[in-house]
Amino acid sequence: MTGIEATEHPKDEPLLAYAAGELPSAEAKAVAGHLADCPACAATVARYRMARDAVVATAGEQPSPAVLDRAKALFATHRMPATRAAPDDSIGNIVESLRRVVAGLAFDGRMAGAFAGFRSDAAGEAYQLAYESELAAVDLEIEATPGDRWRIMGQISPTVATIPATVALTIPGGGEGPEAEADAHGFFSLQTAAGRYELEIRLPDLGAVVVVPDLVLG
Amino acid sequence: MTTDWPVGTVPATLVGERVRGDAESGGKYRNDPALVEACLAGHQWAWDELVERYGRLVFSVARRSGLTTQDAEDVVQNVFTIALRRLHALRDQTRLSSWLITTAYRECWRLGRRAGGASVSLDTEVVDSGAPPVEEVVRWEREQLVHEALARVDGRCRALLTALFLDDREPSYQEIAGRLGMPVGSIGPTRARCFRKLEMVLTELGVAGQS
Repeated sequence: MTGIEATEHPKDEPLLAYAAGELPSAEAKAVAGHLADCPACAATVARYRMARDAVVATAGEQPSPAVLDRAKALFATHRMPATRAAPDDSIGNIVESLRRVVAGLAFDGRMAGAFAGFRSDAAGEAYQLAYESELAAVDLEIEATPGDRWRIMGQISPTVATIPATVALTIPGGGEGPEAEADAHGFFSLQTAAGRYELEIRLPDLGAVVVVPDLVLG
Repeated sequence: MTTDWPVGTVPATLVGERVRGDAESGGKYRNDPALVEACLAGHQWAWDELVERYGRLVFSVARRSGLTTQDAEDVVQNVFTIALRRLHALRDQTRLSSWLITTAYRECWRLGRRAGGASVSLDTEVVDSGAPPVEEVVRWEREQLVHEALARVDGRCRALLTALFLDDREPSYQEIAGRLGMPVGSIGPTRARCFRKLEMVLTELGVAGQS
C-alpha cells in the first residue's frame, strides 16, 4: 500500500526461495521479519506452500492412462437421452397440483452383464437399480442387513435443479413407511422391513412426485 | 511437509505436457458447465476433457480412503459411469468437483462394505459414515484447483514448478536443470515468473490467498 513498505519487499526470487525453505538462516530471518508486517508477501508465501502441499499430497495418486481411457470409452457406449433436456416449459404448469410421474427401470444390477464397467457383485447381498423419468433419474443401492431389514441408499438426479427432495416408502393399497430428506447432492438412505413398496420422491419445487413402482425387498 | 518422492521418479503425467481434448476442442479452457453442455451435444472430446480434469481427483479420494489401486480404479470407472448417466442434472453445477468427491466417497464406502474387508481395508472414518467430512471435501477441492491451475500454465512452467514442489526437501537444481534442459542459473528467475502465472490462474479460479 505505502511506498515505504514497497521498497522493502523482497524480490520474488528470494521470497519463493524462502517459501521453499531454501534460504540460508540469516536471509530467512530477514524475510520472516518482513512477512510479519506484509500481508501481501505473506500471502504469496502461503499460496506457494499451499500449491506445493497440494502437489506433494497427490504425487503418487495419478490413475494410469489405461484407467482414464476406460472412463473415456464409456462415452461411446452411452446414448444421450435427447428428450429429457427440455422440461422447462412443462414445469410452469404443474405447480397447482401434485403431479405423479412414474419412473421406468433403466438398469437392474441383478441381470448378468447389466452395465459395462461395473464389477459384478458375486456375493449378491446388494444390488443396484436405476430409474429414469422426465423429471428425475434415481439410482438405488439395495442391501440386506441383519434381522431381515433392508437398506436403500440412493441418489436423485433431477433433470432440472430442484433439490430439496423428500423420499418416502409407501405400501401400495395404503400405509406409510419411513421417510428421509435427500442431501444437497440428492443422496438419501432409508431402512425398512422386507416387503413390497413404492418409493415416492417428492419434489416440492416442481410440485411433483416421481414414483418408483413395485420395489420388492426380500 | 516432506515427501519420499525422488526427483528422478516423478511420473511423466505430472511433469509432462497435458493433452486437453482433441483438435476439435480448440485447446482452450472451458468451464465445467460448458463441458457438460458439449457432452450432452454428443462431443466425445468434452467427455475426454472432463475425465482428464477429474480422473486424478476421483482416484485420489479412493486411494486416500484406503482402497487398493485396483479398487480405486473401479471407483473411477463407477463414478464416471454415474456422472455420464447424470449429465443432465450436472449441467447446472458450476463446480463438478464437490459432486464427484461426494460420489467417489460414497462409492468407496459401498465398495468397502460389500467387500467385507476381503480386498479392501477402509479407514474407520470412511466406514462409519456415508458422507465425507466437510474439511476433507474442502482440501480435495483445493488440491483439484491447484492441479487445474497447473494444467493451465504452459508446459515448461508446469514442469519446473512441479519438479521444485516435489523436491522441497533437498533442492537439486542441477538435476532439475538437466532434466528440463535449462541453465541452472535460470531456475530461480523462471520459478518466480512461473509462480506469478500460477498465482494469476489460482486467483481466476477463486483460490483464496491465505489458507
